[in-house]
Amino acid sequence: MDLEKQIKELYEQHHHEIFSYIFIMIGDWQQARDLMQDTFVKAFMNHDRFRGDASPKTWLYQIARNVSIDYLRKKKPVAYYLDYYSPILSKQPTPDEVLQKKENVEYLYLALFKLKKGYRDVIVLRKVNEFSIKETASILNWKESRVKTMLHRGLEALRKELVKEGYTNETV
Amino acid sequence: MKPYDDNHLDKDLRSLRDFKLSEQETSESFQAIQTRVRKDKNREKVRFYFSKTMAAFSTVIVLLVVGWFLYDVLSPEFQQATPQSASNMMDGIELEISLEKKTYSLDEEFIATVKITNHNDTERVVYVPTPIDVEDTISAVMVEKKEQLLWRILPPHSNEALPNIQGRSFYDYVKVTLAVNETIEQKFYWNKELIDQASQQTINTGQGEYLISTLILLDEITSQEDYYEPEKQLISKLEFTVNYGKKQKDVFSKDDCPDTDDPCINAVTANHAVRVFSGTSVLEIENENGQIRMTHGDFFGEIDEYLDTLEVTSNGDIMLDYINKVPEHLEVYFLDKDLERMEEVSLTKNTFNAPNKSGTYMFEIYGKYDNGTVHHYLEVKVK
Repeated sequence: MDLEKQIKELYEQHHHEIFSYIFIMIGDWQQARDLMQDTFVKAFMNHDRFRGDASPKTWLYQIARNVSIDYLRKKKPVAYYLDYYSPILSKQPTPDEVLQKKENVEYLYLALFKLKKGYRDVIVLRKVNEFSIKETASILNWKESRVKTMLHRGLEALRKELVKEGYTNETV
Repeated sequence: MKPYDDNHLDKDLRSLRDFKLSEQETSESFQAIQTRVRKDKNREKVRFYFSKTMAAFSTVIVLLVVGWFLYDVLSPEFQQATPQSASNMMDGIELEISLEKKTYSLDEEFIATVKITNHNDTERVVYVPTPIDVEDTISAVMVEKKEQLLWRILPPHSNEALPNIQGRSFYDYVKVTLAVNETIEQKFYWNKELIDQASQQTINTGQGEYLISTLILLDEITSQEDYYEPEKQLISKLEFTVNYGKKQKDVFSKDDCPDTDDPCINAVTANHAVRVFSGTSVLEIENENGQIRMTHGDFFGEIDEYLDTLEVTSNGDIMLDYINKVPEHLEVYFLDKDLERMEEVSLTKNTFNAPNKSGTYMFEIYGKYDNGTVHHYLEVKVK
């Protein structure tokens, strides 16, 4: 299959979810679009390095994650580093576009952004994108045991954050 | 209180992935990707042909030079003792950080040097994010312990006043001017203390892998706002290692404690270091069945069999080095022969003093962690 066809096929299959993943991670629609393009360009420029020990989809997510991290580091390294230390110190602005587009789950998005970065990473991959533990471990370059532990703690932290924000666990 | 349904949490989380580009955005993005891939491929071809020709000439030279340096440069001793530096440049401003070597022992002085050079043909101003209670410096310098929430902003090594520091600007930023082609330099000192992000307590740090980074902003800051998000930032960073030096023998390393549920502690004095034994531990452990509470670490027979004895001078400092987990709270008790608590020992940061009189003593170190409690034990021989 020639390169043009490969690009088209991979793009058609995965561009929505890759865009969505990047958008959740950085909260900027236009920038997420650019970074999604960067992801596919990098994938094609480096497709000969793809070893095949993960699925093409997992590989694309790995690239998307690296591209997003690079962007966040360049854009606001202070906030990025502090985000690793403490969500309290981080002054990550609220991504308004997300709220406009997803009013019904805005509480979740806001709570996610207040979590430590590691918790957010694992919740987004496991619960939003529904990767398996093995795939999540591969994308994050973590051990599977760490994925399990971090997911459990991350969900606990998410629930606490929801309660802190005035939400209570009731069946609606 | 606003209601949310925990049963629907998974479903709501899944719905977060449904952000979609419009058809027009999808199509435009695809065109952009195709164009960029074609261009990059062409560029790669040109680079390939050029590099092929150059490679033939350079290979011979490189082989000769590499052979000459290889023995020295690849030896670990050489790397650990060799000065390390990293620099980055943006808008003609170069920011460099350097260390005297890659590996430091705990009792060695740690000084980092930061240099800023203005390569422009005009005077430039840079800004340094500096909390109001921290001394003015030419650059912000931070040490952090890798994979742990421990960090510290470093103070300058001396109080020497630098004329380039123009005082405070907005947002707790220090304003620094650089003349044409000027290089300025400042040394920063680390006393091996770090702040634990969770408890906000200061602790003495021990062995491990660390990162030192330095940061300046190149934006022109002209007004006061509650939160300012910089656009142009310059960061340089270096990795380094701290060990116990000659006293490092059979102690915990990070590799020994990969499981973050079980805390590992070393006890360190000026001339010796040992593992602290973990006795009865009640910890929440994550396994395949989910979160469970486990009690383990009980010992049978004489506890002495499990302990390495720490050698310390009369009234000497004993530092507890947290290898993989920082306790939320720690209490140290002096024990009698029956391992009953006699009295609580005063702990400053994570360090306490050995008794004055020579002899062998037993201590219990009771740690409360975010996932449970551990009774650690330490035997100390005062010489």
